[in-house]
Amino acid sequence: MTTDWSTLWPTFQTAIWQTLLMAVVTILIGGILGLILGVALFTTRGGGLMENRAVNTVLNVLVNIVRPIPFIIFVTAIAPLTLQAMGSTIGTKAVLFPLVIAATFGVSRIVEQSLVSVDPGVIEAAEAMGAGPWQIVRSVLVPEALGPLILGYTFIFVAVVDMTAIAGAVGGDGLGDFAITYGYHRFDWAVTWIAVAVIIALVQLAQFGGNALARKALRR
Amino acid sequence: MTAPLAKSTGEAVVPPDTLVRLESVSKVFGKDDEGHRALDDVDLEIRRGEIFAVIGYSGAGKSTLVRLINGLEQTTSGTVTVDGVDITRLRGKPLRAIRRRIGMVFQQFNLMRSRTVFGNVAYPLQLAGLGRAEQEDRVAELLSFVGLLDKAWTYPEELSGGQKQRVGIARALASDPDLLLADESTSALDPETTREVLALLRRVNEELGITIVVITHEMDVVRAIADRVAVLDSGRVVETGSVRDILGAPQSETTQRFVAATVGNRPNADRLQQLREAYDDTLVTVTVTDERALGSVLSAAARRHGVDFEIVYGGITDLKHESIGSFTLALRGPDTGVLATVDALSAAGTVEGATA
Repeated sequence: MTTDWSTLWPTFQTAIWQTLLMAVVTILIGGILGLILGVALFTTRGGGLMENRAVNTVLNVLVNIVRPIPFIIFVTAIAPLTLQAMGSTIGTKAVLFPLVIAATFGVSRIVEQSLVSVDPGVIEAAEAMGAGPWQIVRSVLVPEALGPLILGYTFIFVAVVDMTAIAGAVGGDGLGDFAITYGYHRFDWAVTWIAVAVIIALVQLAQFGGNALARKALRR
Repeated sequence: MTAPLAKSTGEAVVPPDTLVRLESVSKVFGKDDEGHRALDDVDLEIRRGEIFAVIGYSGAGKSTLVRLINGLEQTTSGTVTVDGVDITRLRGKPLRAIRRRIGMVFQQFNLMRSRTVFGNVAYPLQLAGLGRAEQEDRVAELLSFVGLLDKAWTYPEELSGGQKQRVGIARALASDPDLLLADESTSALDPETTREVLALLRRVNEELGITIVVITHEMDVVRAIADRVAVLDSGRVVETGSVRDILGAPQSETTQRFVAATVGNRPNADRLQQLREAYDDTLVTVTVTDERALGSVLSAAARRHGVDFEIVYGGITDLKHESIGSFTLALRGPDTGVLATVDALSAAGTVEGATA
């Protein structure tokens, strides 16, 4: 069987842009929300800057509930909410809703882990100099953990690209949808493989970029 | 300039020369009754302008004690007063305002890896809201004080331990504090670097007039820079006094161990036993602050009373501004002559019988 690339090419290009759009918007919004959640997880721990056992327990339970749900099931499970929030469950825009939520919770753990790596002595020094909790978060925690944070965000970006592809199976657009509709359903291996190749290239680029930034932050 | 303490009249009145005062301070970690009692009924008074040392073994509660002074730890009971302000119940903003007037130096330096030397020293200035130009002037001033102006744009990992600690000291001085807390500030450093950092702390005290509280487990550190010292053992202050008095005549067993470890001019029990076996003469240990006086007194007395003497142990220990000599002597001669010599020696220093 030969693939009719002249008709498929525009669809393929659109799919690439949709995937990029979903991944970038998700990592931006989910990244910011996840940073806030992760900082809250870290600072409310026992002995933390804003120790609060109750808040910490609630946040931990919440994160532990959402994170283990396989993304394909998560998308379908929160479809009613997605409908409420985005007015649809189909398409790039609709799928952003579950993507952002899943990314937020994923990022929160990565952020928490990165912040744990910050030398507690440095935090204590900032406290001794009269810095308040928020000042310490902004001027000590995040800058000191920047290297691991960048690597963590790169990891999440790759996971988000993966999730956008999965979303293609349940109403999303992008390369996942493209590979399933024009490759899998038509038994056209070439289309599937080309979609896979683009995803791999995207992930490689992201990882190279992330590594380079992290190296710069860590000065090594 | 010592104002009388009005301790018995209810409200404690802080005398003008007291900068930090701890009154009946206890600190318990964990539950009140079964928890670990890190500090137990501690009373201390740190005078303005002095270098005050707190010495103790690890786990004695030193680090907890120093953290009570800037409110990094809260007391379980008792009060901590800094410059007349009771900081015990302070939280949030007022506490942070006090902290900005207290510098702190750490054993592991605790510099930010993500900032250059300049960025680290400028950090407290940024907290205080200074503009960039003011920050630059002040940081330059501080870095030249600690001799690291040429390192302003390097990162901490490129510095040696001693340099890192000098940056730590510059940072602690940035907000122009009245008080500097040095928590084991030389414990991660080699002896040579330790001397440099101690010399710098002395300059901080003498040239800038900043009161310093030094936390250490080394009597050598106390000896080199402190005016007064408190010995902490299992959360209790077992002895407080001038360094000269503590080193010259340590009272508690803990203090004696610390003194023996650093001074090395007094025979320990084993050595004393050996000396007694070797000499069947009268053994006395004389502690003096003026070695020259001892020499003249000793030779004159020995000649007058027909006594022979031999120095069997001893040495001179240098303190910040003075020195202490301790000599164990074997005195040989008629009993009355020996007694008269001991009497004469008492005029030059403190004499302890070294006989069993």
